[in-house]
Amino acid sequence: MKRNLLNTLPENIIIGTVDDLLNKARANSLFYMLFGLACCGIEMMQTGGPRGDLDRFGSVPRASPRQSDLMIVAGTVTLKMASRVKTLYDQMPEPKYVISMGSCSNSGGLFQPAYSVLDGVDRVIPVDIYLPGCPPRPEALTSALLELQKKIKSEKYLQKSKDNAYI
Amino acid sequence: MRTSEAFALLEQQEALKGSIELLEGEVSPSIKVTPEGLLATLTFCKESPTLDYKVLASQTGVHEGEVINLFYHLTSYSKGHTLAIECPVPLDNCKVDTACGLWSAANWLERETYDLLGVEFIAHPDLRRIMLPDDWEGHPLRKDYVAPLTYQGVDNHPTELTLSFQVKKGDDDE
Repeated sequence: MKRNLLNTLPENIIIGTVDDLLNKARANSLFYMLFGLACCGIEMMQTGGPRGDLDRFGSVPRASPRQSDLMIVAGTVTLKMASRVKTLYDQMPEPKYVISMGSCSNSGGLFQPAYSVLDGVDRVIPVDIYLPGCPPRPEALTSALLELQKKIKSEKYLQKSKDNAYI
Repeated sequence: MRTSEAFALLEQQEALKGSIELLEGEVSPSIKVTPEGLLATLTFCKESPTLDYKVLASQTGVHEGEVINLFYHLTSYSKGHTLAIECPVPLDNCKVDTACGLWSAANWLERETYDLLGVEFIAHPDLRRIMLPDDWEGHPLRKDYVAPLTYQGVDNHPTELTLSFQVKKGDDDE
């Protein structure tokens, strides 16, 4: 067999770029903040519970924004809540991601004509994944998380802070 | 006890003469009271041993034309009967006596009515908004209310897509 660098290494050693390794670690430890605002919150609890089991993907719920990487906005965002959503988002450490879960959070949904409802959470904070549904099933939320993992794995994390306008 | 029997009892009171009226209603009867006679009527309903309405089940209102109709639903557990009281408050003098002195349940219910319909309850111990933020302008359940397009610097204008889905006036006549 022709000798090359790979063959000279002992077992259990992986070679990759720093970005790849960091991204693998980040994508598989997405701690999400518990942020159920309405009925989508129930589906989010289902997803986090034993049937949906988001823990399989290294994603566990945290009660504090300071320990979270991901905010799942699950439910109707009212105008009164909008400033609170922004405050909580600002308290999360970088790098941070947002999944907008359900029609209400995406666009105001059913309550769009109502006087007190914000027409989409993206008017207050930047959103990475829009998840449609009213409310989305736990499988859909799991799928959104997997999409987010794909996105994170494709990022150049070490360069991210330069490009990110929200820092 | 039927509403008509309760009405007959109320009608015998000297103080309430001319301020109460029996409404047959399409679904169920109710008693209509003027704002001036409201507190006396509610007091009698609670204190009278034959009526004995010890519970205020709900207090709400509807904006109808020139008046805001307040509704009081009373319940008596001891007698097993209920009563609906209606009180039209004119928009140009939107004040009425509070029922907090009779039922403490009235406190938050009246705050809700104040928040959403703008009815001022005289002598209410803590008349603040209960659900909307303190800096909110207007009372949303009034028919002439216009929803804000910005709030605390957040832009809430409808998008072009949203506007294209809105039903225009006259569309549903066809």
